[in-house]
Amino acid sequence: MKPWSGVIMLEARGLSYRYQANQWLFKDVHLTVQRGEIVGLKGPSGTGKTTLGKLIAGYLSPIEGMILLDGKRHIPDGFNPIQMVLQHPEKAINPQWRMSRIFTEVHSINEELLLSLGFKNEWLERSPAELSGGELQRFCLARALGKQTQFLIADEMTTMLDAVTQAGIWHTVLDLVKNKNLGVLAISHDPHLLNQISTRIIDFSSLIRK
Amino acid sequence: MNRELVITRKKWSLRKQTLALILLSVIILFIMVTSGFFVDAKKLDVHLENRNIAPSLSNLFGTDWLGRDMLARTLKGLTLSFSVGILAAFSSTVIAVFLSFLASLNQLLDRMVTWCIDLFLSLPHIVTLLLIAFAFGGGMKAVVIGLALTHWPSLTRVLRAELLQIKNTPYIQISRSLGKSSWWIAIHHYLPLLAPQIIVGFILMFPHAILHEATITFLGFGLSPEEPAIGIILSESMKYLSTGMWWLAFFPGLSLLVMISIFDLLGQNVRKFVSPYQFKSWQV
Repeated sequence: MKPWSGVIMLEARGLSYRYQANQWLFKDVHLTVQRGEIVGLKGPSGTGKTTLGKLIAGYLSPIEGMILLDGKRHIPDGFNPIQMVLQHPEKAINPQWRMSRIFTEVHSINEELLLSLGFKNEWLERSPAELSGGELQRFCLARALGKQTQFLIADEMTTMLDAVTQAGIWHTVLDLVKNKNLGVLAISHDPHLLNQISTRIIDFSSLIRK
Repeated sequence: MNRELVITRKKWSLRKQTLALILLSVIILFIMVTSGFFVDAKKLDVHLENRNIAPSLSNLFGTDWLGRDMLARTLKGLTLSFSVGILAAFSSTVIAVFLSFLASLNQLLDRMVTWCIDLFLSLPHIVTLLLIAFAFGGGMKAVVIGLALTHWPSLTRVLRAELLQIKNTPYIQISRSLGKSSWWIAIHHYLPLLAPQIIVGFILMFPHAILHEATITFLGFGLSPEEPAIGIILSESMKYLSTGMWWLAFFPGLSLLVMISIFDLLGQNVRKFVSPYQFKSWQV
C-alpha cells in the first residue's frame, strides 16, 4: 500500500439512527475523516458515539443517510476497508477459539504490526480466557489492521488498559497513520488522550440534532 | 457459627460423578441394544408345548400364548425401537438445525420458522404423528417420517433463540466485516458454538421418539404386526392380560421404561457436563 493511494476520504452524510420508534438517538450527523489524520470524537457516555462508530463500520445500517468513500456510496461487501476496534476485546473474540485461529479469519496479517505490538508466540496457543485484556485487545487491533484496511474506528479502544499498554498501542497506531496513511476516528470520553493523539477533535454534542 | 467452613468431603467431584454416570448409561444402553442381535432365533419360534409359562429361571420373562420366549422378544423389540428412535431423532435434529439457521438469515424467514414452530407445538403431538404416519401408509418408513416431522419444534426453538443471541455478538459482526460469508460464519462460528445444544437436544429427543413409536404402534398405526416392536408386544398382550398373564405386558413395558429413563439420565448428564454454569443456573 503506497501512501495516498486508493480512497482518501471517508464521509458520513446525514446519518440518523434510533433504537426505538420516535426516539431519535441522533439525526443528520455529518462527519469526514481524511487518510493520515486522527479525528478525536469526544462526548459524554450514552449519547450515541459508539452507535455512530457502528454505523460507519457497517455493523448497523443507518435509518437515514449513508457512508461515502471518496464521494461514492459505500456498501460493505467482502472485506470492509473501514474496520472497528471495540472497547471490550473479550466480546470481540469467539470464546471457543484458540488465539491462533483469529488469524485464519483474516487474509492478510501485517507481520511488522505484530512485532511492534509486542506479540509473543505463546499467546497463540492459549484460549481467550487465558489472556489479559491488553493482550486480547492487541489481537483485535492486529486483526482489524490488515493490509487493505484504510480507516480504523477506535471506540474506547484503550479505555480498559493501563497507561503503559495504552501508550504502546497508540504508538503503533500513530506509526501506521504516519507511514501507511491510515485514517482513524478515535472515540473516547477521555479528553487528555484525545488531545495527545488527535489531529483535530470534534465534540459529539455539536454534531447531533435530535 | 462457622457453618460455611464445614466442608463435607465427597469422594468424587461433581465432574467425575457426571462423567461416571454418562459412561455407565452408555454401557447399559449399549448392552441393551446389542443384545438384541445375539438373541437365538429359535427362541422367537412358536413352541406350543411351552406356552403361557410364568417367569421362571429358564424363561426369565415368561412365554406367550404361542410359547415364544418373552425375553428374546423384548430384546429384539428394544433393538428395533432403538433403531427407529435413532433414525427419527437424527432426522429431527437435522431439521431443527436447518430451520434454526434458516431463521437466522432474515426477519421474514425468522417469522415463518417461528410460525411453523408455534403451529406444530399447538397441535397435540400424537395427532400430528398419527396423521403423518397414516398418510405414509404405516410401517417402519412411515413411523420414522412421522417421528422426524413432529419432534423438531422444541429443539428448533432452543437453537433459534441461541443463534439469535450469538448472531448479535461483536465477533460475528467483526467476522462479517472481515469479509466472511454467512456460510463460513455458520460453519466456523455458529455450529461449534451450538454443538452442545445440538448433542443434548439429540439425546433428549430419543426417549420421546421411542415412546411415541411405541404409542402409535400400540394404537395400530405404526409398525406392522410381524415386527417384534415393544408397542406390538404390548398391544397383543392386552388380550391376555385378563386371563392373568401379567408378565406379557409387565416386563416389556418395564424394559422400555428403563431404556427411556437411562436415555434421559444420559441426556441430563451430558448437558451438565458440557455446560456446567448453565446447569447451575437452571437448578436455582
